[in-house]
Amino acid sequence: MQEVIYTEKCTGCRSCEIACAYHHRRIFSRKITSIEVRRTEGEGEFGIVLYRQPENGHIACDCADGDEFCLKYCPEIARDELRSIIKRKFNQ
Amino acid sequence: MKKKDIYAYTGKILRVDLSTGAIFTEPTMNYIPKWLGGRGIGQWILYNELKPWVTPYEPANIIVIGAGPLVGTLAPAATRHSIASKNAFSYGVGTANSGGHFGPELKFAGYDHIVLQGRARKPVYLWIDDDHIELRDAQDVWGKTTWETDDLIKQDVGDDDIQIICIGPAGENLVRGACIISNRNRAAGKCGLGAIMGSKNIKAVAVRGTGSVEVANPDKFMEAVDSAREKLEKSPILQRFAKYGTHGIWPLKNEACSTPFKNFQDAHVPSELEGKMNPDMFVTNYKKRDMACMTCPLHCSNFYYIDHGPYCGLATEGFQLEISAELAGKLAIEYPPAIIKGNALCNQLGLDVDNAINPVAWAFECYQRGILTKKDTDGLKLEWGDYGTVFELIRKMAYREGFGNILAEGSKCASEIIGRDSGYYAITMKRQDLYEEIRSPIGWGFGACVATRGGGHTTGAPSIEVTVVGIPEIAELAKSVYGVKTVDPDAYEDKPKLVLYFERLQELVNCLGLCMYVSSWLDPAQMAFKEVTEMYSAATGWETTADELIKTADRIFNLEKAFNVLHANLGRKDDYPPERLLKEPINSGRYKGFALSRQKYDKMLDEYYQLHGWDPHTGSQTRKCLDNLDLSTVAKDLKKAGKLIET
Repeated sequence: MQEVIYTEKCTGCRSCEIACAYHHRRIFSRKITSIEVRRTEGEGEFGIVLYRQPENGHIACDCADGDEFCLKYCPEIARDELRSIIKRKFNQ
Repeated sequence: MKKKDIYAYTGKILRVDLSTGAIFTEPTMNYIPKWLGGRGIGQWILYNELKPWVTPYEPANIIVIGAGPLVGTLAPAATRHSIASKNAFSYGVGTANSGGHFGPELKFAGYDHIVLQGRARKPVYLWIDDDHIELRDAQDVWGKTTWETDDLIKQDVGDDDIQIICIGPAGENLVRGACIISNRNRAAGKCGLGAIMGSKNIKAVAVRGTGSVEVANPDKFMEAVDSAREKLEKSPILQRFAKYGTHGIWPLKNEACSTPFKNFQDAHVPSELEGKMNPDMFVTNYKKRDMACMTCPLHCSNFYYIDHGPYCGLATEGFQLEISAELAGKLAIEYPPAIIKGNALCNQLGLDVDNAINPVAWAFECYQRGILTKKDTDGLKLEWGDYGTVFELIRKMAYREGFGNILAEGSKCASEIIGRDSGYYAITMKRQDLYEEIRSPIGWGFGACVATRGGGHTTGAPSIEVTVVGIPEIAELAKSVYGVKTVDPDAYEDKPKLVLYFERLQELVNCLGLCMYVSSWLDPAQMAFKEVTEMYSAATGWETTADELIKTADRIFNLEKAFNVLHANLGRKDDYPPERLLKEPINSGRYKGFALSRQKYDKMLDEYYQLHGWDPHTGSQTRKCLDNLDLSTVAKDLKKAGKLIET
């Protein structure tokens, strides 16, 4: 079971997911990604799941620390938060 | 990468006959590239398959739900699904689109469009799980609100990461203004499409897609995507949007006298009321976080929470300017939480906010003038600003109870039922309830009047005339991008040209599946024809010029126009503002005393028809124009109906 990291700034736009699929396979998809956004719309909550190992079709993240492709497409308002989540998770 | 036969599109259209349960697919190639994406293919299927005598709620009507070629990619805000059906108000063109997350999921499941025909014998919902397609029993969700439906279908499927479009009680009860909701708060609002789903006994479409969208030339495509995203991040106009949502324009709209007050008695709300709806106040007191549709860098949607008063505990994705203008403007409601509540209520019941509130505003004005009394309104006293009564009427409308049963037909029809000269106060276009102030700005109003679907500002009306009121220095760039001499709100000059520019751009934006907010509609520095053409070419692999894409937009627009002529006998007379807005001047604000000139409006129409290549006097389409657009079949149909000009 992957840990869901709850966010304050994420807008739930899932650009990170789609960018991640493109990074891995040069396609646009949601199910193969190393990052996943869990949307709880009714409560306005968005959580991030990061895959460091392959799982259920999700490919393991292979980006260098701080150079993650998903960050480029994360809206400016949420980018720093995502950066720190990735850093924290990958330093565990 | 293995070369595919088709890129950007998935290549399949799903057809479901609700009467027989038959389910099959057909190739998208049957329609492209002549017809483009979401709105384009949808409109052609309507035109090609519907007979003029079919009425909106008959099983013979069809609904087409489509996601354009850019949907599902990283193109900014390429998320919108477009829905087409016969218009429940005008019986002409019905089209509406919505953001959220449904469109991309449909593409990932492997479908560009879904065509629903017939009528199910009992309530059903359509479950699409990649290749597995199933009509499921919806008896348990029939009668439920859209929010409940969303939760219950996710429980039924056992997955909360699916995407759903659904109707609420209003759609089930065939309320003309019923919409189709996705992600609880995103609406394909206009044209009564929710009621058409209701007439077919289909409560929802739920989809899970595990596939992908591929583009033909990934490097080139991403170059275009990156360039568009970089420009969006730098836009000060869009940064304001991101912070406040569309409500951020509230003070400017009022300054431009573009906010109907107490129905349409004025075009400007008093400054005290304007202040009570201050965008900063909403951000400070109610906004909890930014929210976005799929792949949108703008996040113009906010999440709100009310922590006090009668609506304490309400948590909901935010409202757009439209609802504050409708409730605070047309109904003079001064209590901010009621704006958030009113939006949530309409979404839960599955009612388009404009088509719900405009009939209520009509009733309030009729009550003010003594045309309606408590005897008509089930004992309710209709007093401006009384949001409790407003919500009660909205509820009655959704369930067709008492006086609500009359309002459920829309203000035009309601005024015909009531009589007593109440029609003068029913402000509609092509019989559909109108949100837009028509008197100011002039291009905005003109765009809403000539829109094929009956009002609305998303198919041709420009926004720049309001923007220049607050940011006058943007006018020079705007004029050069749009190719016009003026963007002043009160100028008539070049407004037909400005509207034509946006008709074409919005047609393409709607077909491709983009959101208009990321285009040059809001900020002239953003994506226009050249940029969307580059994205389309790289995505599909079909090298296309901007002129070719504009021709495609014109083809679809002309098809819509012909549909309106053949199915609803709409013509020049239906492109004029409601009589009241041609007669009455603006009473306060910057343009106090300004009244539309009928003569100048006539001239704008002549010029607009001419720009389209139509007959300038009647507005009828010409053989030459249709032949140029490869629409000889349409010319033949119009000829048969005696509606073609042979030049």
